[in-house]
Amino acid sequence: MTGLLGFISFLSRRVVTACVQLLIVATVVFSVMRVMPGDPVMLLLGTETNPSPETVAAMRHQLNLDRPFLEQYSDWLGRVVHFDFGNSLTNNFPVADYVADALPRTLELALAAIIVGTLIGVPLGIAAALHRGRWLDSALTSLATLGISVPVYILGSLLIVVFSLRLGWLPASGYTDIGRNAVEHFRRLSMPAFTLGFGLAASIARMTRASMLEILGRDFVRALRAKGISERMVIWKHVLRNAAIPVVTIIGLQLGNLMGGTVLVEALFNWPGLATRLVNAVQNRNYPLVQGSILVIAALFIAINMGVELLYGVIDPRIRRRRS
Amino acid sequence: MMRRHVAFLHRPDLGLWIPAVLLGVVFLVALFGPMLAPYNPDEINHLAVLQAGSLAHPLGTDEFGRDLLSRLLTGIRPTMAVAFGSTALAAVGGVTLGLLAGFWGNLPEILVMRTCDILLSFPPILLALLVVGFWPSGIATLTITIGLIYVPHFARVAHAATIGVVYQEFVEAERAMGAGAGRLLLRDVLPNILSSLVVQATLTVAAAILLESGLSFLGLGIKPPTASWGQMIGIARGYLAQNPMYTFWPSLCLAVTVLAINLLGDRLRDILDPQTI
Amino acid sequence: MRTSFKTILLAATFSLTALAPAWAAKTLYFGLSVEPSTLEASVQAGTAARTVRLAIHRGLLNYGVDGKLSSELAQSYSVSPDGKEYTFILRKASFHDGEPVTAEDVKATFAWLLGPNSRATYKGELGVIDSIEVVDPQTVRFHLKNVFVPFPHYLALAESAILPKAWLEKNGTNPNAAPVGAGPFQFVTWSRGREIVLKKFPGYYKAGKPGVDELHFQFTTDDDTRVNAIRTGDVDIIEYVPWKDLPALKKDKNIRIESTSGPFMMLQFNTHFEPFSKPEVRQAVSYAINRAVVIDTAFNGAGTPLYGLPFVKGAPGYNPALENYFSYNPAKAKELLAKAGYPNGFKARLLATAQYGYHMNTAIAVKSELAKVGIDADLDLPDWAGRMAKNNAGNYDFVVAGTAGDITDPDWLSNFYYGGKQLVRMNNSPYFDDPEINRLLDAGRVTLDETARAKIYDEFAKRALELSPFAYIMWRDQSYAVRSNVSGFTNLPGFLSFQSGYSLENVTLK
Repeated sequence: MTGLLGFISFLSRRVVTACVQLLIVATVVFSVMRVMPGDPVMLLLGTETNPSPETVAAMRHQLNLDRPFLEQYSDWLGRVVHFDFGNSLTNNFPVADYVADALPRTLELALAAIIVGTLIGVPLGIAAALHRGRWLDSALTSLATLGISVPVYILGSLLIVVFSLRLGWLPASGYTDIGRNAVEHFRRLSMPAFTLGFGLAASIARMTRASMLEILGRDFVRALRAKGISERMVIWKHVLRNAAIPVVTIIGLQLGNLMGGTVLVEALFNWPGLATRLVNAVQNRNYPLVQGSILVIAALFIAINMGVELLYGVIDPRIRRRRS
Repeated sequence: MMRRHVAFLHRPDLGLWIPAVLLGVVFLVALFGPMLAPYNPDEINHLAVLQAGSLAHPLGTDEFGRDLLSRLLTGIRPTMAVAFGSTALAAVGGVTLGLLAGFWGNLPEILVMRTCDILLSFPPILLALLVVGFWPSGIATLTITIGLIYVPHFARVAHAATIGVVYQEFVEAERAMGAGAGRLLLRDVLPNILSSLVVQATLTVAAAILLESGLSFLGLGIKPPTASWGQMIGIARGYLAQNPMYTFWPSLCLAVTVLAINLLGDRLRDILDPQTI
Repeated sequence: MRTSFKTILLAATFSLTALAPAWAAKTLYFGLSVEPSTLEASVQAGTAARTVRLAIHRGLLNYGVDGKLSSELAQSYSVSPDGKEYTFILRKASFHDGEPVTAEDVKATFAWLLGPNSRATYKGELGVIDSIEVVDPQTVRFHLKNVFVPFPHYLALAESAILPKAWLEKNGTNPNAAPVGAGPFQFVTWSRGREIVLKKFPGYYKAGKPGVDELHFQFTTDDDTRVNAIRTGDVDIIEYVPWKDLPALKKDKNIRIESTSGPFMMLQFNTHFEPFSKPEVRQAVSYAINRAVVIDTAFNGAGTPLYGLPFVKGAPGYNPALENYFSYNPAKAKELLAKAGYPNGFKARLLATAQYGYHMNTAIAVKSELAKVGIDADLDLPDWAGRMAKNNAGNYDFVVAGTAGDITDPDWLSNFYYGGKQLVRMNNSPYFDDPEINRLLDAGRVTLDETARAKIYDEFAKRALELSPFAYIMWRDQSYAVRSNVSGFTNLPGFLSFQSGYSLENVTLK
């Protein structure tokens, strides 16, 4: 009973913190956009001639950009609370539509990277643990350190040179709608997903190895072996299952880093996700679009971190107690 | 643990020395690179653009016919200046805040540590994008931005260590004897957390290099024509088909440097701070 | 072990390639360099938006594939002897909603374009219209306030498209309404961030056109992505082929390059910045820059040096004797600098943008060239929006600009050289205001006689070079890449390259 109450109070505290975090992010983004040099109105009026001051003023009024800063801010915040992010300055489409269009592609990339990272990282980690101290272990451990040291855009460029320019197997960049051509879609996803997943694989391999070694050293493993249960059964059925929990957590923890990594990978492979859209929106001084995108990314990031923390709490009640 | 220390004293620890020597070389290049450069790194030669390696240009040339070796040798400077500058800034700021928060407790502690939580809950590259994307970027802007981003990391380390030490009895006793706050923190707390800080600093230098080069890769870092490794990679990406070695060399330098720092950090953590994994 | 893995991977990749289906036979995919900010008919919002609008709309006149004025919705027109009345006879044509194009629509279009809420880019130039008279449903007459020789050219711009009166009444103030025009293609959808889809308009007034059923404009903002897209056949045409990729694309058997040398790169001087207030110093800059350096580095060799004025051969004012008024002559540059009182050079802020590689690289090359005569150019490289803000505020010492004349009539020079009331504009040299130049430009606008007019612009050219408020650097090649199964697409000559969207009506697919 007290456990449940404690959990509820922990949860509500985290939610309140998350809301405060989002409010701060929103405020910072809003303010930063307004003090940036560059005028969206001038960009909107076409860049080839010189609109008259009256035209500029009328446009500014039409976009509500002539009102006092605080009024604009409170108005925007009031609508954001109702999940209305306003409309894109350049073509008046709802920002929510832009985000809804781009977000799934970013998530798709992140998910693919997690799959790649797990498929590579877990087996390598197991192999390293089972060959502890031998050359395979050292080789894999070094490879893992290399994996976290190579920036994604270097790995990505290398892949482009090998698979696109030398071998010609995969297109170097771009995106094809899954509806138009599913095969092309996945061909284009493969390189960015691998690039993003490689660093993740390194972290997962390190964690799998450490976790495996820890479990292998426990008494119950010795007991199982003493009972005459085959080594294969011991490893696959008992050790792996127990070693999985910390590995799952590290995958969750890495999700945050992954969101940062997508910014660079999307830029390198021109994957039209949220990060790409954000960079374009900044270039066009499309205030509502920048604010909306950043807010959604921040919310996602905070939610993931919260989720991981809750997961921790469920797995290990001690953390929950210490936290509260 | 004992044995490890002994081994460290008796025979050279390759895991420590190899990355340390590599980093030493990087430092020397950062200091003397411009003197070693065979050409002026900004000198344009429009008759020799995007050439492969040759006797005249061992690593080839870029799209302006500038000597890649010379640009690599000078391009390390902004990267290192930003990485070490921001780490120093983050360490001083973060440690001060963490120490004070841990020592005072109550409201200051809540304020500082909650702010850290908020900053930590945001992808560094997005924070940097927000700041650097909007203001004219240069070494100063980058250093301050990246420095601020890593303040919370140091603050957390310092804070955790401080509350540990502050409640230890000998500190209580000294406090009872009337030792000043400043003296207490500097004499009793700081030496205790020095090893954790060294490890954190190594990690931060590596992260700062990656962040600076990432921003430069996106065109938001060091502005041309001044060279920096990340920026060179970002620009070279457009010439992958014409001259792949243009991308390769700065990539190799950057990857090896970060690898050396990470290896050194891992090893230092093993030696100095064996409890934390 | 390693070999077998390789084999599997290879096999897998090949089978994936084989599975890719052929595109639908009559759909054309066009890779735009950017998502248009707006499709509002009267706003010039860049080449990408223009290309789309030229597929949807037609004006009374347009620039045809030969670069000459072509009669579109107007069958013919006549000018009164005093040059102040233009009468257009409309042809039988209809809008996408099925309604016929009438004189009332023409009148409504220009009334809207010149009205108080209009954001029209060429409002100033078209402001010469005094009144519009509907003679009969097929005849419309423009009364001008004064003689304005280039008038038909401004009517031929993509921004002077004719819109239905009924549509204007309903959507005139809504910049996001689905566009309706009388052009070869009608609007279907705009999937934000991805593509704009148009379909064939069966009632188009040119029999047998257009040649494709659907037109998809895809937004491929990144240079490398755009090039990859044409290579892999994802798109059939791309605009703004990056110069560095020209040689490789030319080698590709499946692709042909349509190039025009029309747009040019130049430097604009802020004449309030002290050294640049002196014509000798501006001339010195022109002498100091080896054009080949800029062309070879920033444009991969795809350009032509420009040592005079950007006048196309045969245009009024074109004078072969002035074509190489300047030359690469650093000694002369130093001499001029010394004469102006700067024997040791000076420091100046050069504005460009980091967002477009060719702007940035031009600035880097110019900086390096100017350093040789002692001018220390400090590069200011914000993103495009930041650069535009500084450009429009005159907040620079000199700036790299890449542009073209709006129209083929020499009156395009007015926008660049005229002084007048607004002395800081996007495409002028801030605060440059020379009475003699103003006089000549005014005279050029109202002189009907062609020989007399050519003489005026000849005189203008001499004065313009003497004062040199701009330093012209080069003509840049402006290229489209077209897949070989596409025929009929034309890169319009010279300045008109940016209006090549007109030729989409001729495109057919094999």
